[in-house]
Amino acid sequence: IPSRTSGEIAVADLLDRVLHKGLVLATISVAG
Amino acid sequence: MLYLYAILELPPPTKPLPAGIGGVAPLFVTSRDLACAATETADTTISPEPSQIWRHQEVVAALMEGRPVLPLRFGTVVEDAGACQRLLARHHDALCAQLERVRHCVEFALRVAGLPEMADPALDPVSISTGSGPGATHLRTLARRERGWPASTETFPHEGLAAHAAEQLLWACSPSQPDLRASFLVRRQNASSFLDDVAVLQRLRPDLGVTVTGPWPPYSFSDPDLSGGSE
Repeated sequence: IPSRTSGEIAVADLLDRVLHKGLVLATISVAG
Repeated sequence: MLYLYAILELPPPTKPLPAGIGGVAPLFVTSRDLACAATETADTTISPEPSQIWRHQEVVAALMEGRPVLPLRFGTVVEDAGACQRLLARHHDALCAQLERVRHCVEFALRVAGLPEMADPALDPVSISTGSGPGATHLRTLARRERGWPASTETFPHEGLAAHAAEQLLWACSPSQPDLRASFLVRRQNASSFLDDVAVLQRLRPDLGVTVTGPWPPYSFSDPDLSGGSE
């Protein structure tokens, strides 16, 4: 199991949600 | 252009909100009993810089204080306030139902590292292992990607996590994300009990990397699938 700090995990969880979840209504236009 | 953060019920909060995308304060576009938090932007494409992602999260989290919100996917933009109002009106009933679904709830993120590779038990391993056509290849890919909870609760006793969760969602895994990831929608009053349930799991399986973060806005439980239009 890779060693990760709580901050690293929190950021990974945040990115998962903000970038890949959330309501899809409008265009989603994110660069690269 | 308007960059959109989240949908909420009227009245919108009167408390000042954090700066949004581009450092601009959010405004509210309203239609009937719904509002959408938005920021005017000249950009048609939003760059997922750390500061922008953090601002998106900060605005959504501030909106969530004392009311249900439906966070929108990062990077959602519309032409103008009129377009936003038409979307709110078109999907009004579905959005209201979804707001009711997440009322009084927060989201927790669970990760489990160190579980052995699993296939989805719903897929018959014999039938998908012998074919060589594109269909069989696709099924094998799905079996690797769409795994569920381990079939044996001895491997991972996850059933205790459902006791204080209103809903749960298991994420698809991918080569870049080998952890088992799950989202739990938990009523605020049950948040402490849910975290206790996770702590029990961590004590039961100290050999696994079981982590939980949150509370987050209900990102994983906000989408009623509006692709078919309003009911």
